[in-house]
Amino acid sequence: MQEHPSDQLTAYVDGELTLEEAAEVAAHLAECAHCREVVSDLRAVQTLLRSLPEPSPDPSLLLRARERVESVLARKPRLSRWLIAGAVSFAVLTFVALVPLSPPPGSHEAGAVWHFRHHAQLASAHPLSDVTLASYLSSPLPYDTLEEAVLSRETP
Amino acid sequence: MGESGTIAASGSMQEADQADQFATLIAENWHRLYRFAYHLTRSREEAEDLLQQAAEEAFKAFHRFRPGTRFDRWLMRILYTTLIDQVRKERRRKVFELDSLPLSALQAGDASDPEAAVEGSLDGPVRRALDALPPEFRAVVVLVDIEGLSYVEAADVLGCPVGTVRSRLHRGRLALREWLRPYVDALKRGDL
Amino acid sequence: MIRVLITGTLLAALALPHAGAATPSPLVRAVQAQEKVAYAGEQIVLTWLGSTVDVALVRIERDPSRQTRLEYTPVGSSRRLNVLLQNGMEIRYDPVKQRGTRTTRPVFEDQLDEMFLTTHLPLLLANYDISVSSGRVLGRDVDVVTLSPHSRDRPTRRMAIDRETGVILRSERILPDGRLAQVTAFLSFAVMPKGWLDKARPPAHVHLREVPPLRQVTLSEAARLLGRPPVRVIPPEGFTPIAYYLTPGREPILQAVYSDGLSVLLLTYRRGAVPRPPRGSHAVPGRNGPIWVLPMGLRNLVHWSYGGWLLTVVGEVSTDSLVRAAERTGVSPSPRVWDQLLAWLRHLRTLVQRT
Repeated sequence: MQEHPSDQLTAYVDGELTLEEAAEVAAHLAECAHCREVVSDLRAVQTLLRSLPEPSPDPSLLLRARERVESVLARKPRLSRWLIAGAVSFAVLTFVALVPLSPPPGSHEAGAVWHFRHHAQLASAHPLSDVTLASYLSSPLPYDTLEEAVLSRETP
Repeated sequence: MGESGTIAASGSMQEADQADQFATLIAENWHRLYRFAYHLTRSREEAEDLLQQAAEEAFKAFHRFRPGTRFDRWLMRILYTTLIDQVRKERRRKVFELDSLPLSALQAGDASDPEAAVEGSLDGPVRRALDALPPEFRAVVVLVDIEGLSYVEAADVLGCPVGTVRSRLHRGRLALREWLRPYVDALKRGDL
Repeated sequence: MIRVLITGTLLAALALPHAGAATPSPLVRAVQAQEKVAYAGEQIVLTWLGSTVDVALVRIERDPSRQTRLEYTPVGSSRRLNVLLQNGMEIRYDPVKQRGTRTTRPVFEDQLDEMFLTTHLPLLLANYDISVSSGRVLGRDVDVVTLSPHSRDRPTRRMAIDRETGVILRSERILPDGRLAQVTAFLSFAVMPKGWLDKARPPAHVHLREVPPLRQVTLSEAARLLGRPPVRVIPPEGFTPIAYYLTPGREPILQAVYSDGLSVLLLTYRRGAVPRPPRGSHAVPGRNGPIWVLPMGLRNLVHWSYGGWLLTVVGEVSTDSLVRAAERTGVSPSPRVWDQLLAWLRHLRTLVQRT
């Protein structure tokens, strides 16, 4: 008794058999109503699957996927880039990424200095910035001297 | 105030170029990739999540993509592996046997309502039947029957031997046949 | 694609005739010098605040791609500061108190001129006028480059750029009313051969605290971590947002960085309803409530609250301009960048539909 081909029927339907193999299957099919049914069923299932409508993605999805991808870039501890007005793509502007100052502004007193120091640190990213100035202004040193003037509410 | 999505960090001009290239490739293949993600998952939301997750993984691995080769296939592989990883994490070590999947995986109403098919709302039952397949089988069926890939191409995407593609495809189709029996019969009769 | 766009903008900008303008090549040389020139020297750093001026002397020894050493001596103070910058690491410490910090920074010295040409310079050209003249500083021939802002709320920058090496020998920031606000100038300067510095380390008994770097985020990540998207603030003319950083912790703080090509604006967001005006600031009545102003001459600070956010902005911009920005919080104009994003999206969809 001949064995019924199983997987081979699927491959036969898809044209994925060699000529030899296909000929063998065809010969079997000629004599086997059961397998002919199976082949017919397989084709029907294929038709049903192919009748599924084309799904349409939500329009905002591409944008969200882009943000995910950009978050990958953001996690890398390297430079950031600037967006040029008029340029549309992933391209971004270059800037220094890391600001090595830690404690957030706590008391009111420390508050202003924290902001000025961070500002100086970030400003040092510019290629034309003064190396010495940036390191100086991002330290507490100049603010000691200036504190008195600030507290006496002197305006320039 | 700044707008989201436009500002990011990269290490160099080269990395931004990479991001540009990646964005273009994604955009060119967007609908195809969405279709694959859509059929691989069970809902629109899952499809969106899967696609975003895969996009992120793909970008991290983008240096491994050989330019000039099929980006869609490459990303479909990542979609598939991402899905399988998710599924493995969710599964509680239950091994799915196709034969043991109950017919009630389909809602009874659909199975016995060929009228619905005539009216053109086949999508529901067919989609549900597809969703009922375990992901490994669903992926093969989608790749071959919906995306039109050859066995070799599908094997590439899935990372398995061609023989596995063939057997999974066969068993997947047979399972679908059972779940969609009324429609299959109607088709064969010429009623559809 | 972007390079073509940018080069095109650049060439177009260079082709426009300015009175007294020249090609910005001294600027480019100044940027290139940062990665090419090793030197030793002493600088004076002056910062004005009204009639008060802060003065510091700095000994500087620089060897690009090896190390930069800075030793600060503020005049009239016993405090000291030493800084070591080296390929990704910054160590700063007080040699007297023997305490300091160490942190890592990104290495970008090998890409500075490309960054400048493609990113900073176009913005700079859009917001500043450039003029160049000749001069002599420390017995060396220099190009004196003056960057005058189109917007009259920020300082003019004047730099003396050494013709031979490109090093900025003197740098001044001048307020809109003509007063000097900041000067950095070499008192002595000597070019050294590359490789002249061995890598110094701080003395062993100096205690260094590790400072973790701030985390860079996208705006949407920030929105997620803060619980809601930060309220929109329209910056002064010419400023574009370029990066966002998050200080993590119980109370996350978002720092939004803006630039106009030369000058940087820092906008800090914290969740809160009750304003925390910094000491020394005074309140001015704003449209949505009081706005606290702390003028520090060149850099000014403005603080206000809006819709559950506490906002602070610091920048080299006049207090008037910053107060105007504060008053425009929550106003939604048509953001240019957002329109561009939508245009990109539409363009991509047509691309996709064609395949």
